[in-house]
Amino acid sequence: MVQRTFEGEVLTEPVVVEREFETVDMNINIGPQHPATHGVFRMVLTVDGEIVKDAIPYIGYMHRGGEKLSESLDYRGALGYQDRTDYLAAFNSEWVYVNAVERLAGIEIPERAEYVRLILAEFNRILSHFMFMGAFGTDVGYFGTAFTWTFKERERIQDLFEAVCGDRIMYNYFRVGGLAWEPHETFIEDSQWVLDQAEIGISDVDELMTDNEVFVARCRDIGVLSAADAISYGVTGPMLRAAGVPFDLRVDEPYSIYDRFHWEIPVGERGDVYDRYLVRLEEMRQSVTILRQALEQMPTSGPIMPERMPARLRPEPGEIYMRQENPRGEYGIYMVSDGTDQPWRVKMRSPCFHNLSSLRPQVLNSYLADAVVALGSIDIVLCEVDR
Amino acid sequence: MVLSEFAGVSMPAWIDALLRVVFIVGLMTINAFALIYLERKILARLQARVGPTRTGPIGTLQSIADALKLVTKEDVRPITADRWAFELAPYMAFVPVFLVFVPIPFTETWFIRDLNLGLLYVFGVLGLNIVGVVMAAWGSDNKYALLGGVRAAAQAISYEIPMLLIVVAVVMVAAGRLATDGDASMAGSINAIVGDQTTTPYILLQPLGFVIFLIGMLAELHRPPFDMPIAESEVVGGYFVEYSGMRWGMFFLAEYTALFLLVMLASSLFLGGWNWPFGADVGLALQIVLTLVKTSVMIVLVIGSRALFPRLRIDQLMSFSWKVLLPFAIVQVLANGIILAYGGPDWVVGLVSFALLAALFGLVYYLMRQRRGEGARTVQTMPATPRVITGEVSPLEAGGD
Amino acid sequence: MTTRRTPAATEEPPSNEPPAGSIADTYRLVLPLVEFDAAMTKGGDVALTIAADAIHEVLERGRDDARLHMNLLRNLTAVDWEQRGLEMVYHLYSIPLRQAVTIKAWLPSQGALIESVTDLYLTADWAERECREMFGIEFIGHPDPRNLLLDEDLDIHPLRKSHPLAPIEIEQGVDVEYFTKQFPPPEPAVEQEAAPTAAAAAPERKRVEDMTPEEREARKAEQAERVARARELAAARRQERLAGAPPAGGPRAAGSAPPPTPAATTATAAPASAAPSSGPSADRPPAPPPPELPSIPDAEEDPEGRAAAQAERVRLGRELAAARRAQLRGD
Repeated sequence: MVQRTFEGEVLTEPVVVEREFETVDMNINIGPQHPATHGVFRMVLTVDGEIVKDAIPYIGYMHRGGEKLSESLDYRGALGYQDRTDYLAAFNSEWVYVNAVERLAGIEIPERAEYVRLILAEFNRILSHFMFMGAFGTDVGYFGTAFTWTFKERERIQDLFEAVCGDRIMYNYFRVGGLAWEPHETFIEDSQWVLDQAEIGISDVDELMTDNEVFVARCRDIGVLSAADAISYGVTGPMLRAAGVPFDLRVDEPYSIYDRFHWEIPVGERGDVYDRYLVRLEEMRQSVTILRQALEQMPTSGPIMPERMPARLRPEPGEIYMRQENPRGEYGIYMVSDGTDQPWRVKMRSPCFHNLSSLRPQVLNSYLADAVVALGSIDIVLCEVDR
Repeated sequence: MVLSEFAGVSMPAWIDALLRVVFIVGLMTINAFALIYLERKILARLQARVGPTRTGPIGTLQSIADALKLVTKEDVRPITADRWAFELAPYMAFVPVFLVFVPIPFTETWFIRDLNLGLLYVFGVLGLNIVGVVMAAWGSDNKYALLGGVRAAAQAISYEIPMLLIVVAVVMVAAGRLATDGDASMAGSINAIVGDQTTTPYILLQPLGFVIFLIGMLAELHRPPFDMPIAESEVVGGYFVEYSGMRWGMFFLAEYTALFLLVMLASSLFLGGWNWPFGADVGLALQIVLTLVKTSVMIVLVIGSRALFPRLRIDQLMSFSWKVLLPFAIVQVLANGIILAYGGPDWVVGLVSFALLAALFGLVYYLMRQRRGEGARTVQTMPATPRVITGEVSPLEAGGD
Repeated sequence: MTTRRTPAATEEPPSNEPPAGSIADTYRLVLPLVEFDAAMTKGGDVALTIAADAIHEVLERGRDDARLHMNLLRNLTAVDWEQRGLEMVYHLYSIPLRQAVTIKAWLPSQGALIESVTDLYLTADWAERECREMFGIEFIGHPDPRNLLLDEDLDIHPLRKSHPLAPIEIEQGVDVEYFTKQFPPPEPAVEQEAAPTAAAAAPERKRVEDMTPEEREARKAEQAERVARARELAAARRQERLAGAPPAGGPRAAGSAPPPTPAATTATAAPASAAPSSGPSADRPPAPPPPELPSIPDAEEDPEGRAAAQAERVRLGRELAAARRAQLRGD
């Protein structure tokens, strides 16, 4: 039994406390409807006053059987379900799916389509991290200031996406083999402008939150996850990098054309909530760097779909585990083909699912308010957890 | 105050008192509407929004629309709630706040009653406010409400003590000054304290007191960064989570009235209340304008704090009160006592208080830096080139420690 | 430690042997007693099939041996191959050595048991819980075998192929909407043309509550007719899909100009009319005609009949699905 002082320091010697009266631990049910759970997530906390003694997470409220449904559709038809898993980074999720199908069917895609995909996915990473900054600011207790400022930035990026594909959240723009249609004529100029604005927005967020003493006091050394635990829990993405492990699929298992750009991986030291925030902030800057180079290199004309595409995709029997770096971590599609026009098995490896499973050790023996902050720092998307 | 001064009509004392009470209640209701509108607009500006625009000219009638909605909304009581505690709690939170307005001076002669022990009365009655909060928390039969109520009670206790000590320090200064040119026994009367600040507002004599009073005020009002009792992301609104309709509206009304009240108190104790600067005598009409200007400036400060600060944690809040504010308040009282006992001049009082304030700021800065540790930005970047596998495994990548 | 290969695994034709010096050889070096059946996946990973009872040993040595260092269990799932059994799939990755491997093991369909790896990887806790409820695989030694995503007391295994989808979900894949547009249900269109005013042409839709009993009946009948027609079309389309025939030129392709971009060619226009004309291919038998699904009576009128009808529909759905899969495999 670890003894803790009121400050939360661990005492080395157990202190015998003479209790005048017995206290009863209270079970408190956070969720499924609670402002801090970012969706329908539920955790049952056992609290002794304000100290969390136990935490049992419950998921599955958003389970829609996306994997089963994908198996009942043909390869192209299941693409729409990808938008509905990670709805904050739908381009990234779509990209993994179409990449999986393309590799399974052996389809080469044109270079220009690859560039457009990469640009949109990196924009989506910035958008998703902006959303994180806002929601996390609300968790920490900014009364909406962080939220509105980051949403202002998010809106611009969404406007760009709307101009490209006509939708603001559920894009459904990537196709097996390339893109659904040409991006609009001023795509590159618009992207440049949005990028300039986003860069200003990133420094706005930085100035609003990073150096705020209260913010630091709430985030420093909260929800610490050691590198060993993080890897064992299957944690990936910014959370793992905040713990000090420089693991980024864009570099470690390179896919697409990421080897054409110069950029850097942010790596944290302590693995706490503040490091996760800082890693995400720096990642946005690196995404801007990637985007600048990509927009410069992108061919201005060229096909966006291969010359010949089979009308009906019937990949040879085989399997693939396609994984890419989503804003939240490693998003994988495990797809098994049996030679027909429907996938025999589609498994979505969702990063949030694994990241969220590491919640319990982060919140034990912390304060109730810290549990909320730790949960917010995971940046969960419940649709992706439950699929 | 109401008719007797302007119309010169003499009337029985009870009618006069009744009129004053009605005046205060009416004024405060309008005030709450105005403050809610103001808060929404100011917050919106700070948050890159525009706030209410649709209801009335530039949205000015939004509060009235909100009030209408609250009045017509169903008043839901949970079936497991403690009926009496639940239904009486809003009144218990609401009535004390209004009672406190009795000794608050709007101008030199505008108040309900000038009480000799006005400050004692103010803090005595204001302390009852928390009873309503705890009743609401207990009666709701809701764990979030319970947590919020307990937090509110703990917070109120911890922050009223430094606040009261600071008020004692102010009264000591006032008694010393009044002893020379007035009646020192009136030093507990707010109007007498304000009257003493014709040339020297007490913020010059007690700057530390002003800062501690402001912080305590934010905590008392559950305003960020001290809004744990009503934290949405933790306890979903805290003690009024189960309230709806007009009962919830009464909590809100009490909250905004308390905001106005404490701001009035701060301006009376430290900013000279209705006094025009440099002792100019400007008459009743300008005095009330002055009061409103001073309160408005402070209200904007309080509202702004909501947009700019995240929320502290409950243990950070408690240790800040007990370990930082309380010792400083005690030192301030002792210093005032020693200086005044030896008949020290006012500027010594001010200098000592200012030195204490500087020490407080220095300490808080040091503590914050210490907590943050060396190199706040602990994130480094490394080039995104595939690492060379040398066969040696770095402990971090391997997941070892 | 036995290294017996399950009979099911032998059915998989050995193909795509990974190159020499790949991670498969490292595994064989580290664990000489375990028989590894290596293959390359399309993603370029090495997939090693082992006996199910060796799974804990393989994962543990793989994690602890310095030559493998598989410290990240990135994915854990299963695939239901019906008669051939269940296939457990573990995707492992070594962050320091940057190498990936897929470990597979075959389990029988009924009474599938495998050792839990929760003591090796903490993430296996949730992943195995999900796998357990979705496929009905019992993990020996799992500390907390409760349902994760499904309802707590639900004992179904939805990702098994024998678990039926609802009819609407099957038809979803057949694009009912598109076909109903292509072949609208017969309507008195001639009379509508005679009455040009909009109000007469499109009578205002009445709410169901406002309808007279006769109108309700008529509406029900109309709906039933449309559903039946959609189902017919869907069945025809399904038959054609099962037969594997290339889509013939449909009304859409015939009616419109050649598509300008390659993207448009992917729009498959496979009409119902193609089914009887093209017919099933010679080597595969035609799909069994979809059985007539019983209509479900109202719960208030006939609760027992409703339950029976629902059970009947589920049974028919299972039969249909089984028949379809049997045909897909060419059994």
